[in-house]
Amino acid sequence: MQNIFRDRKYNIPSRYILGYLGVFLTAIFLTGVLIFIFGYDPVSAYYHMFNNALGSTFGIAETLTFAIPLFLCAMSITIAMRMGLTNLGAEGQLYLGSIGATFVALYLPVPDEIRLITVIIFGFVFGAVYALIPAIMKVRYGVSEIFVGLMLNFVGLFLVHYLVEGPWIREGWGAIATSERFPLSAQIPKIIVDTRLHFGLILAILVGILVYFLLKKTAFGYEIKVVGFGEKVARYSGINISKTVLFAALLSGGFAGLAGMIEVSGVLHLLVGGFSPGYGYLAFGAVLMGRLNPAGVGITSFLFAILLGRVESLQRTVGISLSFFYALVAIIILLILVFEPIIGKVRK
Amino acid sequence: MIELITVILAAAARMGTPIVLAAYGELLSERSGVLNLGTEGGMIMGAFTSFYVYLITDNFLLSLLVAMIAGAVMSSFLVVTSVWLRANQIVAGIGIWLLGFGMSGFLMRALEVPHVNIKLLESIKIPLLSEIPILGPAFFDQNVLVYTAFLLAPAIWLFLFKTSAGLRIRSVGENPKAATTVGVRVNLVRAVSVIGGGALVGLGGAALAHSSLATFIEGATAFRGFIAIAVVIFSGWNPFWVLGGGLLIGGVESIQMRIQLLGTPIPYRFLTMLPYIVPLVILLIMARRRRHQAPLALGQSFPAE
Repeated sequence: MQNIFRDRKYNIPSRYILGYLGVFLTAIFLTGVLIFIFGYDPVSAYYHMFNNALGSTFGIAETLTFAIPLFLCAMSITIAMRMGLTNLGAEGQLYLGSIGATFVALYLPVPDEIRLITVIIFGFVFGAVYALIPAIMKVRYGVSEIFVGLMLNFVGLFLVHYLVEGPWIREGWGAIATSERFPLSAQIPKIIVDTRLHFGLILAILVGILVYFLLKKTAFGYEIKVVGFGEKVARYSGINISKTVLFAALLSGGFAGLAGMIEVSGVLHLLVGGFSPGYGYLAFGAVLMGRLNPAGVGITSFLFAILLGRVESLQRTVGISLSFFYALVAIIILLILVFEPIIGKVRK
Repeated sequence: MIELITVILAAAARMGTPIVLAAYGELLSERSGVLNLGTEGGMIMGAFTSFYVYLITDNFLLSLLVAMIAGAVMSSFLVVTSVWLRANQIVAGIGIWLLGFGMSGFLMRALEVPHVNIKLLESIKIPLLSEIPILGPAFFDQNVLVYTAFLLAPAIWLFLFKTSAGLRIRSVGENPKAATTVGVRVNLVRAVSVIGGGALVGLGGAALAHSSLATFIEGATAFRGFIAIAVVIFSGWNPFWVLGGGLLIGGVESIQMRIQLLGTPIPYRFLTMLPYIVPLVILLIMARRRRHQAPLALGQSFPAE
């Protein structure tokens, strides 16, 4: 299966910035028409959207809060895609990460001074180990990583539900089952008071930088790239494909696990079933639009977070819902595929 | 006990039918060399449109037709991106899946579709066959969509392996270059297969609304479209095995629901995982037992890069 961006250098020439901006605006326009058809006012819908997201410190903090898990999932997918593999299991790995984090936060007896760092490590490890399942099935038995990942998403989702409804339930609280609240020592501190923005942002940026250097400057990054060229090429180059795939899967799952950890430890401060709006799926659009480049993906993650942020609060007034956002991301993905040949051909 | 087996088998057929129909669609598409990962999107649009159309018109056949059109339209996006423009089929499929998921949810809200149940399709007893002990009442006292799923297995087999159109589809899926040398228009054949397959996927969605769920909620298909793709793979791209595989998954679904109803110490969340874990286990077993007979050109665009 070919990688869409095979034989390219993953850099982002200016024609792509313009081209993708065009794609983005076209998608906004198309969905605006859709909103209009169903009797809402698209201009005020998008005005509210952007104003909510960027109009105030609180709004920007909120947008960044959404961008963090999106970006981490996007890094997870990026690493896999650079090898020509499709990690559609990021959503499940995210949930496993949140389970690992909750386990440490509430049940693992560790000193308070190192509790947060242990939470982070367990979030990473749980996601990483979960990603090993599709990776091993891929390299040992040739089973498509796509299905294994997708199916395991449901397993992860239901596992969280099971835990918060059963063994980890917080007794006597409301209709929605949740875990106990995290102690302060297991919460990621806030950057700005009175907003939800937390220091997970720094972690996400560090991950971005790490991925950049890993892919660009290390032997491992080179191996990933060669594996992405195809099995034959990798074998002739003397690269141990299985080892590269497994190691990359660990990183990939780990980053998605960090996203889950960050959501429970930085934002929710407890575990609750189905807390992710589908970061692991939506990140796919960000990866594609960011051309598998960590910096580009960072920008697109922020862009998507603008649209995603507080999308539910817009439902009643202007007809925008989470499903609508999915449609918008899907239209962006399809438009990129349609315009890719055109954008790619235009000379400067 | 025998009664219980009958009930479970009957439910297996009813719940397996949406997966079987969608898997037939995927089979057609994959036999022509195109991996349609957007099955989930086509299926959910089929389920939504058939539910909605049935709700407002009360016309069953019209609701099937609209669902098939919706499925065909969704897969036509794959034709544009991956057949014509030769974009990555996986990425395009993901786009179509997210589009179906988002659009069905958006339309659900924008059209203010109420959360109501529609009437499940009535069963039609087939004389003689329905007298067979256990199997008769289970498989031959079913609704018309279940029978459609049964009959399509031999029909698709005959079409693929005994007609020249079927040969053309298989040839572009196995060796598109060789196919062109005998004058087959590869991308045209692929486009037709994908869109035709998409219509079947849409029908699978309709079956979900009419014969299994009797309603529509956001995300109603719950990855049945992806399970259908897994069924195609572990069935070795053979329509009869697709039927068997789809019914098997339907069986798992019905058994786990039955166990939930009976009440067991097993937490129900673990039971709901079963329809997702079982296809994985089967994929794994089949992968170890024999090499998959995937169409050789599956996933490759034409002309190749």
